Amino acid sequence: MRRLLRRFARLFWRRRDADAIREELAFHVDEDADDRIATGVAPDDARRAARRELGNATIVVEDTRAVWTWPALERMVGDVRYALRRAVRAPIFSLVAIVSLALGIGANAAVFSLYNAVLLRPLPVPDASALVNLASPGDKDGSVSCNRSGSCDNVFSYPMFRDLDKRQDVLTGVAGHWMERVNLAAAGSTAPGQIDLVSSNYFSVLRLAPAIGRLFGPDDDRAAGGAPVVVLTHDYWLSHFNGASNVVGQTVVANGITLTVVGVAAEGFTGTAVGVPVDAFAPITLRSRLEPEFNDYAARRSYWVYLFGRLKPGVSIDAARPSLNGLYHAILANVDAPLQTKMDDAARARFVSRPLAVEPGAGGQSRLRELAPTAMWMLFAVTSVVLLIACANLANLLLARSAARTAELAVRASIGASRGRLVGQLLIEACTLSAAGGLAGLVLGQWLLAALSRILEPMGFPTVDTSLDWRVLTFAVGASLATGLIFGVFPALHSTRIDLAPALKDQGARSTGTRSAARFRAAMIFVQMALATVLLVSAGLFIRSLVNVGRVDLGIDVDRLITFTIYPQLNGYAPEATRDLLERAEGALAVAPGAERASASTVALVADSYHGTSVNVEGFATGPDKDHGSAYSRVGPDFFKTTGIRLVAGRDIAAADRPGAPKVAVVNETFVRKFHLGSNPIGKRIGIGDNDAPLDTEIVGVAADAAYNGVTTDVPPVFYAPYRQDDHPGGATFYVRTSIDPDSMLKTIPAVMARLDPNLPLEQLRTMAEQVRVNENGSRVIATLAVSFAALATLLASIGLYGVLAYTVSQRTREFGVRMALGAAPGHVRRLVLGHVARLTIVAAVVGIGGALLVGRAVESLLFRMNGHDPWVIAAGVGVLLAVALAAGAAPAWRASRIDPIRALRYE
Amino acid sequence: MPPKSPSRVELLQGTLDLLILRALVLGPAHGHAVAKHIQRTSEELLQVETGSLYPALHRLEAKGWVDASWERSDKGKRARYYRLTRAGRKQLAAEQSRWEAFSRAMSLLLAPAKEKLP
Repeated sequence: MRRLLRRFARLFWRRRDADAIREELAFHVDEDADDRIATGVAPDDARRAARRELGNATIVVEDTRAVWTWPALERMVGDVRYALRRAVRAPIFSLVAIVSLALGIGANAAVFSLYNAVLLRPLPVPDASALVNLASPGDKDGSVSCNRSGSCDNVFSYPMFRDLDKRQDVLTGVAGHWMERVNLAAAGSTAPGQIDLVSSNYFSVLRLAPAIGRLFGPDDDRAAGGAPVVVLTHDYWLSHFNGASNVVGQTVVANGITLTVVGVAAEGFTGTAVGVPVDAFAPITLRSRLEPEFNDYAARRSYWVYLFGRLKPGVSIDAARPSLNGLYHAILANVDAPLQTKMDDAARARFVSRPLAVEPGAGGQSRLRELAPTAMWMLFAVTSVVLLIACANLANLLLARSAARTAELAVRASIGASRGRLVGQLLIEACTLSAAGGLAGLVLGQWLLAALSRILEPMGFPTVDTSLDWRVLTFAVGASLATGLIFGVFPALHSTRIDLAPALKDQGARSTGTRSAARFRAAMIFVQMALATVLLVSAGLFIRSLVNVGRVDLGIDVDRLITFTIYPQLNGYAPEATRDLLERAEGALAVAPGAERASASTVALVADSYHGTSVNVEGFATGPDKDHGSAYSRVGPDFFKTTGIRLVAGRDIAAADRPGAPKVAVVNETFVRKFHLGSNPIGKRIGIGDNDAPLDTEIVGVAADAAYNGVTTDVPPVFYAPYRQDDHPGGATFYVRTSIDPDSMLKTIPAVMARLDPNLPLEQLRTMAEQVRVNENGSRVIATLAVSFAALATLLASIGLYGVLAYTVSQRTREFGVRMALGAAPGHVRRLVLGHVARLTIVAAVVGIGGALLVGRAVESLLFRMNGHDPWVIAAGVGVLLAVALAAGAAPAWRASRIDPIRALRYE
Repeated sequence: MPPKSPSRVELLQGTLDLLILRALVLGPAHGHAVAKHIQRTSEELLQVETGSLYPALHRLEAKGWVDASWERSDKGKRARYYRLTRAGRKQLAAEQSRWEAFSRAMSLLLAPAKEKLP
């Protein structure tokens, strides 16, 4: 190892090294001379003889130094230096090549960073590769709860979890957890937060150490509702306790329950669900206290715990599978199956034989991991296309440049450089360029990644750690070297196939404009243009779709409307108190300065919330095969007047619709149609909750169809009932209509709410217009990405086109000169060049359209109210491409038309 | 290239390393002293080329068989002294026994005692 380092050191300090050897040799010569003088030789003669004896000092120094270095490597270093010198001498050429590659590699590095962060990076725990995730695919009868910790296939019942953990012989333990959204109060401020409810062995299975205090032990999750303790994440400890060392023993309040801090987890660990960092960990047995309605610790038919384990040393995942399945099936057959009273034999057989999936769990559990790959591959596909276009630029530039260097190469070949040596050197030049591009791309990639995260963030894209690590570096280095090698090969091989005599005679002015090079150049341009067409047309599709989204008539008056959400239940409010608070908030908001009126709703509008239930409707036949589903919302007085949803008939919900008063509801037009209520639904009765619920609620109004859960989703049948007549409201979204500038109202509202309860966090406080924009983000994000990448691709392709045209024109100087000498007008020459561009572009576009149609079909489900082969979009895409291509060709064409025939003919 | 004096013997490939290691058994020495030692001990039969001596010394250093450091010579000049390392001693022993076996085989083959092809 030391020797290796020494070798490297010598490689780079070559001068000092050679000096040392020279000094050593000088000493030798001196000694030798002294010996000769001692035998009686004259001093001058003795020194001359000694030097003669040594021979060629430089060669001796070189030979000695060669012991320490690798000649091949050193030659490479020399080549790289030469390549760098050349790159500096041709700055424009280098800049275009490097910027092209930087864009291509940067885009790929950014996507790879995301991919790495989401799918590759292991949890920051010791020996993460021994972790395994457990899953139980297959139908589950009973209740299933799942969240962002993984898919609904991955959850187990709590008793099953305990059974599996108890009888382990291949895992060091099975840990379970459930992510809980809470209102978390620490140091006087309350905010929405995430607590991971974990089994007491969670940390020991992960082999995680505390940064401060202790983690959980067996006593912490012994009894349901037990051990009100909490372990904070390092981040939360820093942000909410300023990293105080005396944090142990202090308290935080989650959903109104006071929890004592017992420790802080190791730095960097934010739970096992990628993309969903948690603030703290609490015993899994606390779920029943944080969620008063929950009590499923003994229920074998309630599936909600996410499980993972750690393989014992020496046990492989393949060895663990049969053992774990055997255990699982025994429990299913002996304990779970007898509880399934309604099953027939076939179903029971299926039930007891369902597999237990054991998957590598180094990266933790996350819903994101399951959803991300598709999106990632789509992004990769697009960025690869961009990179391909960039590489085509590199190849064309290299080819053009090596043509200009034919003379140099010919000279080198004639004085004995082998073809392999020349090819090697050209490849190194290509790789030097691509490495520079890769380096710039890595920097650019970080910036693109930030931009990408910003674009994706409103979609609820979670926070992932995207800092550079060796995987991203390896990827970038690999990508740049591969592009350099692959796209440098043809130019290198082509330009070293030299016919020496003419090349030397001609000084290489035109001799390598051979047909194969021309074909290669044309092919590259063709591919670039075709790929750009695909991306342009796709971008057009998404833009058109976004325009369609923007044109949707929401049925809500979003102008000067403000919305925000509170969850009093999460702060420990009982249903009575919650209802009371909502009423008081409505009152206080309505009289706030600048407010016109205010109303609450249990379901936020246009926020992807959907509450559905079965209803019984007067006059609508019931039956097992009939769909009785309807969406609903519990709303406050003047809800329709406040939100601007038009009432077609009847009245608004009123303050008088309270508990004890006759139950009422307003239904929307789709509800009227679905349940055949006819032209006069007012006064008809419905029952809520089941298809045979008593018909105890009277329809008092009909509202126009208005957006419910989303801008682009169809309006479902909806009934709006007063929240005052609801038995268990947990929280509500408020709508405040202002007469003043909404921005100043946004500042007033927190103060108004704080007077009611300072500990109640306000969520999603924003204007309704903003809320609508947020909801459209899916379409906007896709359109933004598509346009960005299409623009990038087109820019790169046009740079490439420009480069090749500029080169071709300079190659055809003589030809154009002859044409003009024979009387061709400048306009004719211009048309000649531009006509060539147009023909090339149109042929490429036709091929590109074929690809775009395929893409259009694949993405059709993402398009709103349009199809994937919209002719106008295709025409627009081709139009843009043609315009860009002609713009790129304009300068070369102009230059061609300005050629002076006399000088061109003398050009020889 | 000047013609070699006929009284001298060309070094066999690979033997220079062995000779250098052997010379350094006597203690640290600079390159010139090593060359002189070899020359003198071989009764001037072996002449070490400077052009191969220094690469060989550096090669041995790179292999970790000798260590080198700049020191003052007897006459007070800066000279690079080489000394045998433990690995070098081991290497010398191994090389020496290999050489002895080789030279025994050579002398057996070349001795004209009772020659008869089977």
